[in-house]
Amino acid sequence: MPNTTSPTTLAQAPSAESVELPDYDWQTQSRGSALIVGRYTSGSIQTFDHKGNPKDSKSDQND
Amino acid sequence: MLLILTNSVDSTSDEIVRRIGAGRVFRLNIDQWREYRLVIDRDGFEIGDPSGRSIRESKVRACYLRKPTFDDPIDIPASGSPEAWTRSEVGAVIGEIYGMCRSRGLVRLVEKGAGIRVGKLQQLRAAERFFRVPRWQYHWGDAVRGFPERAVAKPLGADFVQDWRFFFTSEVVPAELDIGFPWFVQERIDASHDETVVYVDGTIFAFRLDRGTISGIDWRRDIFSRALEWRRQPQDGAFESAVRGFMESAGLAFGRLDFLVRNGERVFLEVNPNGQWGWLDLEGREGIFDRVVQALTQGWAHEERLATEAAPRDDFA
Repeated sequence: MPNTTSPTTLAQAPSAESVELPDYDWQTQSRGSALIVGRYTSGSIQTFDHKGNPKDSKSDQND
Repeated sequence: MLLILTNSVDSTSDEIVRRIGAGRVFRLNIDQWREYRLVIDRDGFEIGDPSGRSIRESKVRACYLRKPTFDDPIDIPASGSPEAWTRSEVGAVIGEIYGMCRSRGLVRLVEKGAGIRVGKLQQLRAAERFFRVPRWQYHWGDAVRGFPERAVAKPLGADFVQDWRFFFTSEVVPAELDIGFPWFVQERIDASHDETVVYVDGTIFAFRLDRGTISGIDWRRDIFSRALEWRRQPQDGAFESAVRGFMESAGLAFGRLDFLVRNGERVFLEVNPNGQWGWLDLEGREGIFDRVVQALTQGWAHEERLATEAAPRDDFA
């Protein structure tokens, strides 16, 4: 089957997960949760938001 | 004072602020831009946050570009959107602030735009001097010629293809690719491990992941569904010399490099000049946070602490 593979046929949904987001504290300039480092920053490659929804990312923001 | 350009959900920045001290950092979160006060004129910039903390351009001692991105995607009609326009404008002014810091030699580790200056294809060509590199080709409008039957395709960018679906690195048969699309194909490497290397201004932190523990060929697919076990690798002088040589040739002070490991040999894939790294040092035991903080505070933090102790805070109002 020549020439039938396209980016559309290859694309997959990420196995995303919702993450509870603590409030931002202006005094400490932090949300203060190591959990997010592991589950959001790591995982996200900045391609998924903290709710587990996919998000756009480009240039300097790429993983 | 260290100026961090990022967003409010960036927990790597949370930890950096905690380590350096909130009094010596001004964090500008692009997604909370409405919460700040900002003025820029011929004399420089001044920014204040809701806590009363402020920073003037003349007080910036170092600037760190993290992830100034908006966290909530919006639909943008072709005819335009006030919110999209505003976000673009705010992004542009943060780029200006970065540029002002850069012109004064204050930017540390991450260079804005390095992903274009040292793009993925350029990286592969440059890396041949230092590492084994997979055979690769970028093409459209013509069939792949003379390429191995087993290959992988990957995107250069990070846009969604359709319906929030992402183009992860995928196995393909080159002869079956629709030449009406652009394709970046690479020789498939039957690797036992992924290796990722965090490079911080000459210091190298290497970790490996057993590919038998992931469900496909792109570990990012599993990042939310499995606990990926990246194991720290012992020092390897020859490899580290090659990494340093490559990064110096690319003019990068920071990056996360990705390799595949086949029969003990590392095969270079790419370097991400602003790659995420906090997840590799969650407990702070690997020393990556220590090294990054050192690079961000070198030459100013001690002096500024003494000055801060002797003088009242530099308020914006």
